[in-house]
Amino acid sequence: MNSIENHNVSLKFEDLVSEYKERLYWHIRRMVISHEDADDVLQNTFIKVFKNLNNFQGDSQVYTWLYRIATNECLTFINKRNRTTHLSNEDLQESLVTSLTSDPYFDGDEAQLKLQQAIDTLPTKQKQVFVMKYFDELQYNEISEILGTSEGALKANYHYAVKKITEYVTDN
Amino acid sequence: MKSDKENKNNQFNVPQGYFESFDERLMTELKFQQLFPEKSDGFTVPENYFDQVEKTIIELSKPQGKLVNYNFKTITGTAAAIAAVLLVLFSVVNPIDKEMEFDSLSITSLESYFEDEDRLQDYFSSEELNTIQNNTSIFDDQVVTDDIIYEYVDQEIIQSSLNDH
Repeated sequence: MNSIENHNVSLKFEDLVSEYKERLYWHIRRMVISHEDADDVLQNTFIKVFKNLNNFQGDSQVYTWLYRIATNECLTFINKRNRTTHLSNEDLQESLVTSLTSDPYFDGDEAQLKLQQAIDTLPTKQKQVFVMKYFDELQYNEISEILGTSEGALKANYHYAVKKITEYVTDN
Repeated sequence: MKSDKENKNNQFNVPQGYFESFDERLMTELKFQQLFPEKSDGFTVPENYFDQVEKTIIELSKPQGKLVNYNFKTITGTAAAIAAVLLVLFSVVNPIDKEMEFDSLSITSLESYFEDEDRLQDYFSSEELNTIQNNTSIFDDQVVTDDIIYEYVDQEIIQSSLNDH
């Protein structure tokens, strides 16, 4: 079984799966919305982690490395889904959020449904930053490492995201 | 409390426009917290999902198929013979001095090449992929010449990537 073994870290693949599967799942789920899609993306993420374990240098935290892979897998999945359905990202997200009302794995109330609708009006980058900061409760320096964006830009992105969500929910 | 004048003598500084935008940022955050006092997204998972998915992932990472003990010398010899035959075949059918033309590539081949997520992610960060996908201005004209594509790749992607690093 593969493992990370260098001067900084020593972790087995099984330990990574056990430790991070839930955190990564919820991050992915909030980006792709449906459970089935999140399940696919989570598995793809860990397969990529497994293939690249030996390339991990230990320069960054393990979980920021895992988050980066998960984030890239989400974007790849979303782009592929958009191409396959021939819908714009906005139209597709809207239809996915609408379908939440009949989703057996969504038990949110009206406010949570509105929040999802509002989140899905955001551009992808703002959505990523909002999900990571608000739900995943990552620090700006961690998000900066994951997305390769300056902390100042991330703070601006988060502020605009909160503002747009508030306006959307108030207006609707 | 120190007066504004006394504070002007201290060594600390704030980002430009910090105090001007503070009220607006605070009010936005307060409004948001009033609308969503509890942090919850309403998503759930099937029962025992996380136990099952862990098993599935570990299973997927295991080598597939039965291990067979091959004779290394035989494999090397066979591989060398196949490589030699393929080399001769390719040099006859597709001479090395023949230049690959951009036009000779089918659109499907190009799409298949770039749709391979591994290839894209090897060369571009997620942010760059987003930029490429969102920036469709080069397709505004009906005719996209090779020069336009080369210029776009050179200036927009390679140069901006170099500037970033």
